[in-house]
Amino acid sequence: MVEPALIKAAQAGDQDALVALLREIENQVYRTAYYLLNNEQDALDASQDALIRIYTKINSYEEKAQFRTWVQRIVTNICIDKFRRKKPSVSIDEHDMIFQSGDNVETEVLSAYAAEEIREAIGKLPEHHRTVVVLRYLQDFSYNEIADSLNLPLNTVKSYLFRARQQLQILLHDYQKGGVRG
Amino acid sequence: MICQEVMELMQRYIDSDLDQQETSLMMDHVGQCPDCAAILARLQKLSNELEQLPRVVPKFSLVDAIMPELERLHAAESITDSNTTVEESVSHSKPIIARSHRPSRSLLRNITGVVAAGVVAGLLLFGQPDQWFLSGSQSNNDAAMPSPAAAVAESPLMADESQSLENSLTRKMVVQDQSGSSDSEPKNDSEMGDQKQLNALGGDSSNSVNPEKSPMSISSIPATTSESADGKWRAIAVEGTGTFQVYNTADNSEYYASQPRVGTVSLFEWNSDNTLLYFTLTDAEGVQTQWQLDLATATESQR
Repeated sequence: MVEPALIKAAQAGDQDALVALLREIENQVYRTAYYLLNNEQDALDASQDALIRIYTKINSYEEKAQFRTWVQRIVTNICIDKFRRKKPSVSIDEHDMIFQSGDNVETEVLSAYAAEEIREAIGKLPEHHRTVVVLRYLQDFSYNEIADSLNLPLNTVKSYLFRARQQLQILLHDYQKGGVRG
Repeated sequence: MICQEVMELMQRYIDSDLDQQETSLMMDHVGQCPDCAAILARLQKLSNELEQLPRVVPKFSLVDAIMPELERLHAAESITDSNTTVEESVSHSKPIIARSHRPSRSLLRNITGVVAAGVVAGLLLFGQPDQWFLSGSQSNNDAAMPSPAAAVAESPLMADESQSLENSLTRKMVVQDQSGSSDSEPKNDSEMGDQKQLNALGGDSSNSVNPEKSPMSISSIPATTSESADGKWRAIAVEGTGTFQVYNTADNSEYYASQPRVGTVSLFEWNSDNTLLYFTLTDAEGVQTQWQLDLATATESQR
């Protein structure tokens, strides 16, 4: 966690404090960008943009918000912008995603998905769902923190997260059926 | 208790969001319903795997990589501090970039012009942050700034601008809703609140402010601005300088700053799908050249 004193010093114009603060958050910024964009180079670009924006906008941060949710808001906005420019359409129609009960439960419970497959499956989620999953699992955010970061109502956050998990199960199940895994 | 109700409990259970009573309700059902027990096992497995995703780190220090840019920004900021007023820097920007045949001086002057333009744009954009950041939502985290009312009191002339910005933001929100890509609720309540505050303070109550209208004209700084038809981008060129900037209207971040040139950038126009920005460069002898900026690649080329 970034010390409030460091944030205050950075806001007061202490250049060293501001740079130290950016160093503290660079990994968490990159992690979000990496899982949202699913591409190392794009993630490096987006997280550098985010850090520069944080540098220039540090005075617009107010203590009533959590610093880390404010940071994540900036990086997710940049990433969403980036992948909207790249891929204008969403690859999966979320309305077609109907939860499948019980089939093949035994085989799925027994096998563990490789991290790579999960990352690819996250990349196939609609952007809001993907963002919610990344904040929940890569930043360990609570529902409330996700809602603050994305400026979404709490119930919307929950429904995105719940649907995202169902979609991930279907996507990972498809991988298995497609013969990628035994 | 039906399985569908238990589904939500199980999802929340995965996120440790259940109280004791809800937990035992869920467990009672899961104990009797093999289908739900299986679903819960799958959910838990997926969630565990998501939790174990590798915490990737960048292959080089990002802060080191952007340090030159940060130092440039810091230097520009120091120059801002040393300038007394916006008006002064603008009124001086024209003579500063007068043509010179000495390349090194010319470069220095151009840079000064760029800095002056940056100062003006910066003050316009960020000196009145609440005007530009009015996102129509009081719960917005980024709206962690002074109240709109206070800013209007300081600068009644800017009320028009903030309204046109609100209009453009509203328009954007409508577009998003139509495309079904946004579940966020329209924030009419707080927007109306802002509107009332503006009206109470003598702001223009008309909502028909044309967003294309140059906002600079009302604050006495000569500049050309143009917003793309989709409301996503805003190009600003301060008169008398050979540079312009493109801002992302969603969060007012600078998306692109042009190369410095001798002359004046004017006559912005967007192509139909808002991917190209056309502009005219007029040099000191009045010779005009036509240019375009490709937003996707951020490259300028002569037409």
